[in-house]
Amino acid sequence: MIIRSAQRSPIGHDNPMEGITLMHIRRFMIAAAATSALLLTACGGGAAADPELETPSADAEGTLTVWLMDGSQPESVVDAVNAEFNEKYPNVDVTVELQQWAGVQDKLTTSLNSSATPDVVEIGNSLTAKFADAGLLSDLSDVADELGSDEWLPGLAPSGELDGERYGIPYYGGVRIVMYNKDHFKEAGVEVPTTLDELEQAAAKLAETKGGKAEGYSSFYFPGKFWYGALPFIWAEGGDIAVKDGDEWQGTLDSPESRAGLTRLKNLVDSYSTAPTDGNEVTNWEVFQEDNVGMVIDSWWAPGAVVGANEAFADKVGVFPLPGVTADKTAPAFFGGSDLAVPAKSENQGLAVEWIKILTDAETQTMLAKEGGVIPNQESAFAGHDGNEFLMAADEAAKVSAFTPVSPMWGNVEADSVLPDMLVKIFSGTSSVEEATSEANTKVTEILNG
Amino acid sequence: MSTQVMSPATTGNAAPPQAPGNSHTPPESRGKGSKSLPYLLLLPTGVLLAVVLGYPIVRLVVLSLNKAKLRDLVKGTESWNNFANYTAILTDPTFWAVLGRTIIFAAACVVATMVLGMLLALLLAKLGRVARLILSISLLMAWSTPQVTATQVWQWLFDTRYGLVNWALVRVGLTGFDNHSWLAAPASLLAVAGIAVVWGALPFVALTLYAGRTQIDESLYEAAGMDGATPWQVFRSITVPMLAPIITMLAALSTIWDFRVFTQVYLLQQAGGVTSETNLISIHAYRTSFSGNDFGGGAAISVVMVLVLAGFSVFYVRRMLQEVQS
Repeated sequence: MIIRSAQRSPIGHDNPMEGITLMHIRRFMIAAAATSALLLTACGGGAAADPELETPSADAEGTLTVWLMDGSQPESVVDAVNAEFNEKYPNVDVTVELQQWAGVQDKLTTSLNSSATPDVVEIGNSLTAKFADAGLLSDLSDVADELGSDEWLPGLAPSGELDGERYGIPYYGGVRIVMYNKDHFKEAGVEVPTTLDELEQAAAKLAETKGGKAEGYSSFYFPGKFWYGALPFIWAEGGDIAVKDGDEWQGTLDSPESRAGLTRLKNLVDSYSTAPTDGNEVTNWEVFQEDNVGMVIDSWWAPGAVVGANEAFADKVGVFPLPGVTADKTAPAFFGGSDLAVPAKSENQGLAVEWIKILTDAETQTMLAKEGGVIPNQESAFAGHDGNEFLMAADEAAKVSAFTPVSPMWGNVEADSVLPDMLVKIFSGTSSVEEATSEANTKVTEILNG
Repeated sequence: MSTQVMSPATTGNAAPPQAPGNSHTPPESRGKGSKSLPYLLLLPTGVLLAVVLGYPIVRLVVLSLNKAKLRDLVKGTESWNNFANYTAILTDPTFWAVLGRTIIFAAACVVATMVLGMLLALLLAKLGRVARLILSISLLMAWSTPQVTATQVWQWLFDTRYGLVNWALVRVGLTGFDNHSWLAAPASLLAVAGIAVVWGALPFVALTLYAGRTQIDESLYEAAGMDGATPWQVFRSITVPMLAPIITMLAALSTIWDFRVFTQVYLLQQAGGVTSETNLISIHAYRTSFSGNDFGGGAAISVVMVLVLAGFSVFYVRRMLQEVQS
């Protein structure tokens, strides 16, 4: 449980879970009113961002406040980064505060806009564009080189960019992989599939040997709301959520490719999934331990969590990246993760960049990969996963990845549950693939174009 | 009394002095002193309310009349756009669907809360000491459970695969409920949310009604008993009229609470169901503001919400005053 809650959220980007009432909204407005006054004065002295990003001299003094997310990294990594930073800047006090994912979006909205802003923040990477667009983040284009932009995984880099400028520095990522039951595969005499067609055949054989849905066996377990799991099917066929044409976004969920991907997934779900068609994926790794699931898509950490929770599964759990339409390319995985950013209002931007530099360099990233079990921001740090079969499979999956539309409005698509609603309607049969995709596509296009 | 003493001062010199015995002190100064004192005493409360309640509401209204996207709030470029936010939300069919859904949801919750609360209160009055103590403690424990925790528990009870409810229904022979999703249909999701809401509101209502019930003179019930009244007649002719002001107050509070339900539905939406078909008005306002970055639009929805609730409140308060007077 702890592993799950600690590690799942950063990549899942759940909506804030706390009960937000009118009271909170009002409170925000007071804060907003108070800060807009401060802002006007601040704008007066607002110089270009570049001088602020200059590397400070070694005798710099002050306090650097860093907000990282709880569960993103083990303490040892933070300690190592601070030690290295303080060697260089002995007179700077670094305070690292761990934030909870629940409700963090609202907290960032208010605090980044105040004079008490932290100097470094970790942001779920599907939200970086939103905060950058609002003017809350400093433009780091000038120092991106220095921060190792050449090394970043291609799948992680786009999220921190908006209109050609760099705001978010990739911190780490996570992907979905397919977890399968080796014993069941052996019984049914099937190999790890290398194409989606083979995956369907494997599912059919598993059902023949182990039983169908009626017997309570699920060859391919897939809960209806699991949109991170559904996207690779769309991408594998060459479809997408939306594409940008000039300044306008055009939804492409209703394209023949997207529909082909969803139809394939619907067939799998209809035939082989015993999961609730309106359920979410949080119990996938627990259901797997019931031993009546052949394959299930889950987060990269899930196989380790299964073995950790249930010794008996140590030899049963296998992992492979979701295959593509052809054997030469796996299905693009949704590559979630976190970015690091410097709030525009921070007064220690130079120091902030120096701190980020240490956290994102090859050495720290290797340590993070090894001790934190996440996918590091560069391939050279994959070495941290050596000897770990599960994480090495996740690294493989991460090499072919795709991302949600990088738009400041994307958060609204997530908040309005457009994709989960579409999937639930498709899988529960209340709408056809055509109807559901057309409806969702209209919404996506409308929202992204603001 | 004091108004009579004050009247000569306030109505001017034309009125004849009514209290000649007090001629040593000039009526003006006395009048002034006693006139400003109550206001002076009210001042701290007034200031506090103005700051804590008044200012946010004024700010909310102002915000609702501005174009205020997140970017505007950051850059300080909010701009007055008259009633554009209101026209936008009022012409949005989603808003009306949400409002209608919220009213039905709130009405159902209020009725259920009041009926069950009354039944529990009557039960409390009938129980022996030990049983009453146990029931009261149970009620208090339900009351003290945080909404998020309670909702999670209810969600698990109704869970598709592991839920106790499905398990029990299948056990008694209703096999159709095997793997039944309680959250899939919008009405069903809102019903589960409603159960969680009513469950959380019951203790306050039941205990308050019970407290009111203990204040009714037992001789009324004895007299009714001698006249051969049926329990239903006793309930209708004695209990309900005597408790009327309390019932009205509780109904008013429940209406306000249930109209702005957020947590229960929001959490259930994460677990199952179709989000766009189960949003209530508070969730709609939240999503518009914080996820949609449109704080002006969100504020406009909130103002409409406040107005609707204010309408209900006026109705209830007037009724309560009438009941107290009669």
